[in-house]
Amino acid sequence: MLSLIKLFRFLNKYKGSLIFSICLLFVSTLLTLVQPRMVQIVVDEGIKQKEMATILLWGGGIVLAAIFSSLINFGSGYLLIKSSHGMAYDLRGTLFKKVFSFSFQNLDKFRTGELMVRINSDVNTIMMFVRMGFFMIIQSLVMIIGSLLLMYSSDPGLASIMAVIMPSVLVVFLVIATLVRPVFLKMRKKLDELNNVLQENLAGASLVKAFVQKKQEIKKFNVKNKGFYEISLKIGTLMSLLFPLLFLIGQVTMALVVMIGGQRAINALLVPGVPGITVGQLLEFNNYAMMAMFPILMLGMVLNFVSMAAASAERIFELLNEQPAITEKAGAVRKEKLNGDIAFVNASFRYGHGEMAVSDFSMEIKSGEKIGIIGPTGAGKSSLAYLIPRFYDVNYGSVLIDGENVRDYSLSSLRRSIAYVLQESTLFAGTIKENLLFVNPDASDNELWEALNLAQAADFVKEKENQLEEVIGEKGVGLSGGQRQRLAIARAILSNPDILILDDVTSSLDLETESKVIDGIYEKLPDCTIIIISQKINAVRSADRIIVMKDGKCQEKGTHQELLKIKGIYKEIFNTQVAQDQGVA
Amino acid sequence: MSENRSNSRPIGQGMGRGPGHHASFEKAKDSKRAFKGLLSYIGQRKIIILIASFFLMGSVILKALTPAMIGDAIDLYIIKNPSLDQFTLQMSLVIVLLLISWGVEAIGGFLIIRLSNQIIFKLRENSFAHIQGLSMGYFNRTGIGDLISRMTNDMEMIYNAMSNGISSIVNGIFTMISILIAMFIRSWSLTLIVLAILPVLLFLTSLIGKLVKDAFQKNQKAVGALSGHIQESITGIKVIQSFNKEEKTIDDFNQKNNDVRRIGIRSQFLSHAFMPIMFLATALSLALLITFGGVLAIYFPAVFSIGLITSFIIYAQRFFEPIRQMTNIYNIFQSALAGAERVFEVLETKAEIKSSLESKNIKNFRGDVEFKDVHFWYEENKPVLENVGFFIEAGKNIAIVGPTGAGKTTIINLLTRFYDIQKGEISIDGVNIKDMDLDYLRNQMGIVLQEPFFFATTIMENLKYGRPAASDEEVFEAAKLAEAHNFIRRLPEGYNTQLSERGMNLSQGERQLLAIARVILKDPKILILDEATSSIDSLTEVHIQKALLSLMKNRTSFIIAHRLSTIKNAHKVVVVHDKHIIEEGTHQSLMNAKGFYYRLYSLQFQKSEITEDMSI
Repeated sequence: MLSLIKLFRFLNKYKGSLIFSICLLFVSTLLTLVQPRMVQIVVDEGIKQKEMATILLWGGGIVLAAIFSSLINFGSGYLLIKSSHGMAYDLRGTLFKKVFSFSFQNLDKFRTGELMVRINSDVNTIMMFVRMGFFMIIQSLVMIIGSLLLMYSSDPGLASIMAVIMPSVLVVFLVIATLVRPVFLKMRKKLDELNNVLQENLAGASLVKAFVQKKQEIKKFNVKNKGFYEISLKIGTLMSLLFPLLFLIGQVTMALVVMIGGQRAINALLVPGVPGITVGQLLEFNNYAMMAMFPILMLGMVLNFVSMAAASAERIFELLNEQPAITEKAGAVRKEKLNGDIAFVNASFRYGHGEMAVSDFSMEIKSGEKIGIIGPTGAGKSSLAYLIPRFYDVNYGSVLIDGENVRDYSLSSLRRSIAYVLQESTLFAGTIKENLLFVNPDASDNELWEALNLAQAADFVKEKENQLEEVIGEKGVGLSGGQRQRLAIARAILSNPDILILDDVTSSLDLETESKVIDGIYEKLPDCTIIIISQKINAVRSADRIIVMKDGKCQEKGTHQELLKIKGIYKEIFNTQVAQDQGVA
Repeated sequence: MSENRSNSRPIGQGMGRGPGHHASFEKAKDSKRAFKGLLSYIGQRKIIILIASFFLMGSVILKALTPAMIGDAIDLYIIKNPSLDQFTLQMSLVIVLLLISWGVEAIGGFLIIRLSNQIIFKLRENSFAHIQGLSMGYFNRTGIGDLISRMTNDMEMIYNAMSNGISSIVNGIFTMISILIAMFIRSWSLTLIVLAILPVLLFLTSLIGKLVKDAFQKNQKAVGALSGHIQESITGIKVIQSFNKEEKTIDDFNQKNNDVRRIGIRSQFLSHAFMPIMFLATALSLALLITFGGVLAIYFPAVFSIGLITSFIIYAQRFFEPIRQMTNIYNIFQSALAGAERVFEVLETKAEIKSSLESKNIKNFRGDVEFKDVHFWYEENKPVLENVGFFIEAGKNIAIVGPTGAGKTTIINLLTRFYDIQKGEISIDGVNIKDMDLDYLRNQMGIVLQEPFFFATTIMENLKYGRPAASDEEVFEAAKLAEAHNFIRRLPEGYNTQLSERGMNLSQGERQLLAIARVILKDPKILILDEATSSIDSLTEVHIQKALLSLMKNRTSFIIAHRLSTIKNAHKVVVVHDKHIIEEGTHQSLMNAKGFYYRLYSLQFQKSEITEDMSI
């Protein structure tokens, strides 16, 4: 609830329009409220007294009031809609920028789906709340209070009956809503379960077929389907009872008002001296009761909506309050080009409170040097490389580029000059060309082909029907793993990096292609510092220096030849991957 | 738009008019067929709809009676000849009628709701069972997302139209008709006055309705574009950050965000306009009614009593409400038909790959596998395999090698009949696999893929997937063989550890170990390993190698791998390159031949340094 109120600061910008809109709404609602009173005057003073002028006068009054009320309502609605969408626009923008200010450490905490929900649905819920909520609350309150007051001015007795009945309707509604809510939540859960079974079944279709589990799957689905059917039917039954009930209450109330009012009117007629009410008044009451009843239901719905909006607001604040783990310091160094010297000085790093992923690591890499990093899964190879472009910050020690601490650089100058090809080679939906131009919008087609050639990707791109213009799906759907990796490498080359890091992105390539890619890059980018991370000897063997990592530490380093002579871990990996086969051959 | 769903359930009846309420406005291409399909599902239960409509109609008529009775009560017992008892009696009767009408409406509503639920249940059940019989080619062409949307969103739309639509339409039409009749009986001239506004109103509603529909369609597109952009940029956020392209991404976002704002304001304002316009129309007709009615009452007091005018005022207010509702319902029905069309499209899709009618099973399954002159393409005119032929004797193993994308996995997909070949023959023990029972065929095979799939349940259940009846001990045994037992035991809840979607809470190497254990437990006659150990680090692989060797013993096995160590012990090696099998033999003979295979794999030893270590 508090978060929801705090979120209203996003409405500050639209304060003027909002207040104006509310005033307009107030006036418009008042204008609708006078209608029954005018009808009463026409009936009691016009028709009964046979006063033609009165009938025409107030008849015209009803039309005029309706026209004004509608026009003002248009204006008010427009302003309110504009403000609520404006707020949603700002809020979405703020959240999106916030997410992009996050470092990897922050991002590890949230799943993609969670971020999506916050930026999309939660903002929409808040927007709907502002638009509908404001509108309904104000209109309902004015209607309810106004009708009660007008009834009171006409006949205090009847009005007080209404004053008792109306809140009880609201209470009944809220009670029903609270009773039904958990059933609704349960239904959503059952629906999610059903959809999960479906989703998994389709995603694992080949497994289902290969293991011939069709019957089991159908059984599993039918159980969930049945479960959902039962709860859905329960809700449906409840709804078909309760919704008419709400209207029933409204109509019965009105009938009661007419009955009680009518009885008093008759008493007044039969027993002279008793103050009575007229037929026109009775009609007026009937109308006001109707006017007040609908807003009561609206109000109930809005109150129900508040808890949803409050939950959304809380989730939004979870994002807004998250502090980026890595920020630029004031007066950070901006450089167009880096030399490419890298130094780790007693660098240690861990994720959260886990064990050290990189432990007291020291090493100097010279500009233009080609480095291979090899080691078993979990050795800390990627973690070490992450420290260079500041995807994560060291816990102890430091990382230097060109002799200066990476923390002293602006993030943009670091990342512009360092091309880091991540393990999951994410491509975006669009053409191959768009994906490449993403990093370097000014590149010519020739440059694109050059980069593709270097990444050994030119051949398969040429085989595509539309070549560079071939549309690839999200995450590179329609491409094989190896093709995705090569496109990601081409993209990195195209960014003209001073430091290039390939993080296990040749794993899906056959050895021949892998060697061609790596040797080509070494040859064509002599000045670029290149770091290649892999589990395969083939990928690192031609590096100037190879680092063998295990448990976050450098265990061995040297050239391929030197390392083979040491007869340590590298040699062991070499034996399992290569030498055994050589022995056979 | 996730709130679509929450709004579209029954609560939608009461929930305002947010964009979700209008859902989508697609039209069915062939509404007749979709409609017929739905009717066939309703089948014998059509009578229920009739009965329910009858109940709903009854409730509407009862409700329509009440304003007249109130008017009468005022006229007869207050104005003409005041009588407290009569008046009270009449009004009590009104209240009783209201109560009865509620009961009747609830019964009608319940019947409809139950029917809709039953039909959607059946439709879901049949669609799912049908989908299980469709082939991989269909899934790849249609896309899983699309199928899921047909099974969820489209079903919901059909449900919505049935559960809300039918009652709303019956309600709306009968409300209008009965009020119309009630009005006509009492006074045709006042009725005409009430109706005078109707043409204008209908014109305005349909005009705005059309505008709203267009605007919401555009709105949906804009919202879709925005959430697509958000989804993609968040999925790729690390790449974007690593190339320092945040600014560009945010610029794109702002543009789409702005579109959503602009179009959203327009569409919501248009739909908001309904309310004041309805109010205006009702007020106009009310003013007309009391002005003319008033004048008439002055000149013909005998015919136009105050009670009559009173009841007309009440009727006029109720008469117009259904119109707005029904324009909404029209859209709901349109979307439902479009949804039904997509659902029936799935149901009418014939399975491309089926067991043949006279399927023969092999009595003594040995496992000789032969490919004879096999031709295959995924898309016409784009051959993937041509003239592929080889034979592997039962119990022996065969390695399929070749450069990335040569068609190695395709060969496997053909053997399991995930896809059918266009020309040639694949046979096991001399029987064409097309003549075998599909389930029988696949029951003989065990496949381990590079990216194995797991269900979001416990490790134990996942391992038992191929043999649900296996005992826990058998599972442990299989896991030990696959070198998976140790890491599983180290997990906080051991074999009861819950896997997340696709088993993503394990590393790829661990997933591959699990997949191997799963196949060991299935104990297949033919074993297929497609890059099954690619992500397992070399040291662990050495251990599994032993397990795999014992697993392959006496089973026909197909191995696809890049790593030579996995291949070199194969009884036979076939080299696939550019749609053809270009070399065939043992590792040794192929190395000696110094052909493509030699070039592919000698790469690892080309460089001089290895020769000096040759002795190993």
